[in-house]
Amino acid sequence: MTTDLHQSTEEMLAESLWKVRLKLAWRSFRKGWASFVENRIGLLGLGIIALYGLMALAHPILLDTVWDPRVYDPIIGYDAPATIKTIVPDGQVTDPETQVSLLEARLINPILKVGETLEIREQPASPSRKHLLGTDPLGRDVLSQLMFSTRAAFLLGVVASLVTVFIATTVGSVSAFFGGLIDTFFMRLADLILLVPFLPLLIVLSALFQFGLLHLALMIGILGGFGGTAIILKSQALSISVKPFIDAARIAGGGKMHLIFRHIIPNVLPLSFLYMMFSVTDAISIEATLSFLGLLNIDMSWGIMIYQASVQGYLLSGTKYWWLLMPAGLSVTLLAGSFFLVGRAMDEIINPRLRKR
Amino acid sequence: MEHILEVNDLTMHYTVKEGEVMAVDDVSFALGRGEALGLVGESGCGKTSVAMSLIRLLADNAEIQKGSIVLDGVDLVPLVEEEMRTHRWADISMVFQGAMNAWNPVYKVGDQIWEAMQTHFPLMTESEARERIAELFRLVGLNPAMMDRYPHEFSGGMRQRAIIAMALSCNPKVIIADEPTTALDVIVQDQILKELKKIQQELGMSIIYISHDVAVIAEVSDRIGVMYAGKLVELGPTDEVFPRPRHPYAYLLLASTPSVKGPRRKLAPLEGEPPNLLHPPAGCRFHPRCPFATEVCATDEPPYTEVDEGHIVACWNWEQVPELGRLEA
Amino acid sequence: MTDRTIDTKVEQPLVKVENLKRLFPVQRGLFRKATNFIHAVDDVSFSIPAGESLGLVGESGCGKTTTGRILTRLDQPTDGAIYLRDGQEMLNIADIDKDGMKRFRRRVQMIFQDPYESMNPRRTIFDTIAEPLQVQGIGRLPEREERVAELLELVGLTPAPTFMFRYPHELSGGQRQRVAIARALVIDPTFVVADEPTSMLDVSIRISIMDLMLNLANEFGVSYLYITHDLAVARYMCDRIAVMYLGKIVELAETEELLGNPQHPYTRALLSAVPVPDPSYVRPPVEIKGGITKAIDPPPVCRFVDRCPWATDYCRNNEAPPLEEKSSGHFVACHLVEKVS
Ligand SMILES: Nc1ncnc2c1ncn2[C@@H]1O[C@H](COP(=O)(O)OP(=O)(O)OP(=O)(O)O)[C@@H](O)[C@H]1O
Ligand SMILES: Nc1ncnc2c1ncn2[C@@H]1O[C@H](COP(=O)(O)OP(=O)(O)OP(=O)(O)O)[C@@H](O)[C@H]1O
Ligand code: SF4
Ligand SMILES: [Mg+2]
Ligand SMILES: [Mg+2]
Repeated sequence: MTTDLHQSTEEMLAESLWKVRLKLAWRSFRKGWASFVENRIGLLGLGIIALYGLMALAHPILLDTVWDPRVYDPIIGYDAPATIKTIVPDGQVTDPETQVSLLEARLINPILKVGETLEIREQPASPSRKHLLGTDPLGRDVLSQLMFSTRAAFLLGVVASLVTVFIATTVGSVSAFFGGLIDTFFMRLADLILLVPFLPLLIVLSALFQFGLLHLALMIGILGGFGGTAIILKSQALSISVKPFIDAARIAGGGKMHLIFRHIIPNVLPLSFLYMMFSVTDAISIEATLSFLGLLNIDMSWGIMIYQASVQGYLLSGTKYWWLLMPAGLSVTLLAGSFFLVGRAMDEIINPRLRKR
Repeated sequence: MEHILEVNDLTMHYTVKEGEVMAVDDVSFALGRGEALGLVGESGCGKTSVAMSLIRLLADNAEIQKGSIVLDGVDLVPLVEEEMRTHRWADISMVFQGAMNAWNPVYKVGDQIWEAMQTHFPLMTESEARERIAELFRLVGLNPAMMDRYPHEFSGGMRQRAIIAMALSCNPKVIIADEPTTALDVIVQDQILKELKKIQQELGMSIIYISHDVAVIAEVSDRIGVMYAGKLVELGPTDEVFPRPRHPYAYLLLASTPSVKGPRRKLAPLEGEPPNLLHPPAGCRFHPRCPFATEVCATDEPPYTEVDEGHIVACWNWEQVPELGRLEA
Repeated sequence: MTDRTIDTKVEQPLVKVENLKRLFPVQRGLFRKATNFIHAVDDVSFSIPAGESLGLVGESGCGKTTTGRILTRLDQPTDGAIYLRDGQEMLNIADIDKDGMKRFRRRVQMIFQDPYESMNPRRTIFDTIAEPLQVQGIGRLPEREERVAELLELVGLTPAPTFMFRYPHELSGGQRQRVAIARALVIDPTFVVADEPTSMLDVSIRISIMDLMLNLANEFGVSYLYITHDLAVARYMCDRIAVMYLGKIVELAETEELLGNPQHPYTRALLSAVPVPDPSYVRPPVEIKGGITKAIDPPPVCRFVDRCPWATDYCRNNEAPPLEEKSSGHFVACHLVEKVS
């Protein structure tokens, strides 16, 4: 290991500095990756994320190639398999595949008589060859909706968590370094945000304003960034700002900006990345909740899928219409959970105390 | 001298992911009744590992590979934990490295000592126990009233005294003091070393001092063992080893110790770093740093040579090592 | 108290400290104002001639680190003045402006005790050593690289290229302390505060670090304020030694004079408590009892009075003794040590 290191560093010196730094970064990434791989849970999470990533990427390609948009478009597509059935008197249905009772037929059209035929469109249709996950009550392909929504979930999660972590890292480091009034202000602000329950606040806000996906992402990011995450990252920054290497940097003549950006923030960043994973989890579940409550102004998402199933009364129908609820619900849980798992695995790399001996 | 403790060919390894850490390798020594033996060596050379093997309180990944530890006629190595428990604390006890910082802050010191004693004196009543603790406190120079105080009310020196009191609670025949004064100021160190010496003489105990500070070992021990990278490289009477160390490492260690007494001499630096015990050097483990090394040192392990009565050394070239002499007082 | 500018003997001092004082409030609940103070450094004066090193010795908590931090401007004194030579004049470092601060940082550096915590784990050895050059805008990148390589060779980390782009955790404690020395010397300072630079290192490595520091000091004309709790180490490293007790200097003299002829009862006790690496040497008994405490609002009498084996009613009832020159170059703060000269 060490000899390997020697040679590589010796070779490195002949190169320019940025190349050396790139190599060093690559080396530390490889090391981190090696310990990440050791942790099965993290790999599982990453695998799930990759799977959904593939789904998101595949969707537009499928629509372009094998899926007819008129049938498969997640929002305006329509397809309802039709079956022709003969109307028989009540109680004499011997073959439900081809026969329908008069009572049922008259629910659809009251002037029908026994002996006539009826075209029944199945809507929602149960999973079939054509629609692997069936169709929804409006005759749209559930699989297509599911894949289409994945993109939104990723977009939301990434934007929200980037905003959260950017704000929280800056606020935390600045508060920890300067202390005093600045610190008090940001920490009281964080307390305030923590005090006001997140979800109800968003519910109220989204009822007042028309919320799109991006708005929601920014909102979650800002609330998270100035809220709890800022407190956590501040305590990390605080423990770093009292380390002797900060004093050493001062002695070297480093100014405030140098201390914050070269010393404190780089040491807070690993934890920031960790909390980024956790805020993706939060964002995805918040979106699902708000959509489920019908408060978001978006066309399609996992939350919306569940919402629509519920407003049309399928929520309480037990497992009979499972494909209306399960795929979306499971996806929310899986994707949110997998980011959490990746976060936990990273935690073990960053936090050596948690590392197994 | 009659021996209370005989250690023969003790070898102890830790198993870690990367392999075996050879922390104690073929260490042999004997301890006479009422004798004080000092073990010196730098950090990581296996001093604590020897001590932990002696009282058989080993980490989960540690294993005694071979050797015997004969305490008062009983070999401790083959004993199962149950049997060992009757000897530990009662026959051989230990002042652990850093234990003074390990008091539980929420319990009174006296209660913590009582709890430790209860496993050995299950029939002792509370008043008997208090009396015993008071006696121990007086022995180590603490006010008995302190037993009802909490650890944070103790200074560093007092906490260490209480640790020593705890180690003495079962009247052991042998006590191991692992770095008993390392974190303390010199004046407190002096007080505690004196106290330990007095107690040892009063109770006729044998004691093994462990320290990285050769000056401390010079003062308190009758014989000194020098450890390097898991090996005992030199063992002999303190009076002989200090003016005339025979092992190059012992020589350099002593020659590089600054002193407030004697001429202001140039000290000899020891170059290089101690080896990684996962892959110790072949032959003599000291050869990469040794100024006296010859070809044979890199390939063959040096045998023990008795250079004088009771003074043994493991070095091929011990005759080359110059005399160090005394510091003129 | 007014005109106690001691050490007039030192002509052309590099650093001069006058009546330095630092109080720390003892925290008294959240909203109450602190009414009690730890007198961490109290009325400390000394000066250090150019090229000479002063050892600051004393037990834990006596104010050594606080003094060092004030001298490097990591901390502000409650009272007192520090002067640093600038050509022919002595510059009061409390008065320096932003530009002056930059110059100050070039001339005064510090080496810390803990080799593991005093380096940013996410920066390479090159970044660490080049930091003073970088933040002060000295030299261009290739020049800095060259300078860092030169210093690495100087502190014995050879070949330099193999160390430049390692991270601190890839080095041993001794190697890190060499890096710390290189960082302190990279901008040619004249004065370095070294706070127990070897106390966390293996015994076998200490001497080589101390030798390195001595050689570099000789070569570049650097003065050290060498902080240590170990008189033997101070003897090896320093020309003069100041002994501190609870925030005050109780004795200051040339090294051999102080060790051979200690005057203050505390110095005597400290000296006789130091174990000697020679079993045939019998130390005199240590005359004092008890341990060091904290100087929380101490009464104005001699701070050592409770533990002093000589203390008289005079000591208990009179103001603390000043640090006075009792014989040539030998300063003692004790009522009972007679002035001989
Ligand atoms: N539980 C363990 N697992 C693996 N290696 C260990 C374990 N405990 C100790 N070691 C290793 O064994 C070697 C000897 O350690 P030991 O604690 O005995 O040294 P020591 O001489 O007491 O050092 P110190 O002066 O620092 O206390 C070291 O290299 C150490 O890293
Ligand atoms: N930031 C601080 N706030 C409050 N008290 C402090 C602070 N820094 C130091 N002190 C107190 O000032 C006194 C002197 O501390 P200092 O660190 O200077 O001692 P020291 O001589 O360096 O000790 P050591 O040998 O343990 O490093 C101590 O009582 C300490 O508790
Ligand atoms: S055996 Fe050889 S290498 Fe080992 S200490 Fe003796 S001379 Fe040095
Ligand atoms: Mg140990
Ligand atoms: Mg200190």
